[in-house]
Amino acid sequence: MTTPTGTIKASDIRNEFGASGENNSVRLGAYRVSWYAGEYSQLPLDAGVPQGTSAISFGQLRNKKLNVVVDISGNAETRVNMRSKYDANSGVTVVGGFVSKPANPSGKRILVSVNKTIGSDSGSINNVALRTGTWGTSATLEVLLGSSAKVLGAGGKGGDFTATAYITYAEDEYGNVYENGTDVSYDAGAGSPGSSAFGIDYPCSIINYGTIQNGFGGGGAGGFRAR
Amino acid sequence: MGKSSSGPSGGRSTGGGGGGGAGFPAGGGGSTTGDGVNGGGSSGSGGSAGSETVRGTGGAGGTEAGRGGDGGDSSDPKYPEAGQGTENQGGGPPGANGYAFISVGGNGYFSLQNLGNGTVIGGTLLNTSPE
Repeated sequence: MTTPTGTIKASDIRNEFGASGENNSVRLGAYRVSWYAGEYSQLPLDAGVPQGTSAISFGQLRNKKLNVVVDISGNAETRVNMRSKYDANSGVTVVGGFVSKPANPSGKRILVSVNKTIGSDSGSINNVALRTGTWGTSATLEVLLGSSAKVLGAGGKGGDFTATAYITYAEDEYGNVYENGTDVSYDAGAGSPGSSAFGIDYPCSIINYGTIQNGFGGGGAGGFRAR
Repeated sequence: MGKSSSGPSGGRSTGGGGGGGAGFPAGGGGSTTGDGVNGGGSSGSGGSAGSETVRGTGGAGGTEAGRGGDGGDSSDPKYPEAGQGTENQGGGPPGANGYAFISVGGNGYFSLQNLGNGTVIGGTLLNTSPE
């Protein structure tokens, strides 16, 4: 839970961020962290908390949340769910390092750093490359796409042109049906739709230094002409 | 690249396959295939596959047949092309483009700030669950 907006005790700070001193104590100076994770640098314990050698007081830890970074980088992949990465403890870092990742992210500030290519799947236009997933109640979700981030929908397949031979039939004067030849049917197929890039299941803010791009549809097949 | 065939019977020409759309993974090119091929017509060729950002091009049609349409392309992010038609049969329609964003909520469910070379190509579909 977020620390109180009014009167704040050491136990409120310890419950949110973990103990920073020996024997489960709270040592305020130790909370002046400058944290690096993914594309984030010099992160404070939470926005507005002093860093380095700046003075710090209990009051400056009012209305603050535990910050957790999910770093999504490395080799290209497809169909990524941010919440699944969190649950799998993939690239997860707790800012300050005074407590381990909470199983339930409700009430926390989640910072997702993306800096790689993520693709989608062409099965449906609603298929997305990267989706937020859901984060319970009152979590704050922020997404930072680095300059190497490419979140891309899948391209649709081009239409096929298909010619299919079939037997033709006729009926004689006695009502008997007989084969009288063959013909060919033609189908100039449609292109398949492209799919989508970024799916938002949960309110969030996005800062984008990279590329977010829909998948494009395939072209249709050409028509035929009898000569 | 899609497959191509020789022309079907009766001296008729096949249309070209459509080009694949840009994306990741990119769309494959359409093929042009048929049963009962006896020659006499000329073959269309398959479309080519797209890449992350560049469209695949439609295959050429056989003699007087229509060329396949090009896939959609991020450098010209309008729509992919329909295949060219002929007087006997029109070309196939293009596939729709996907969206840059699909949001389960309405306006205000997310905020976006592009910084540096940050780029967004594509539209937003609101009040729809992403899959």
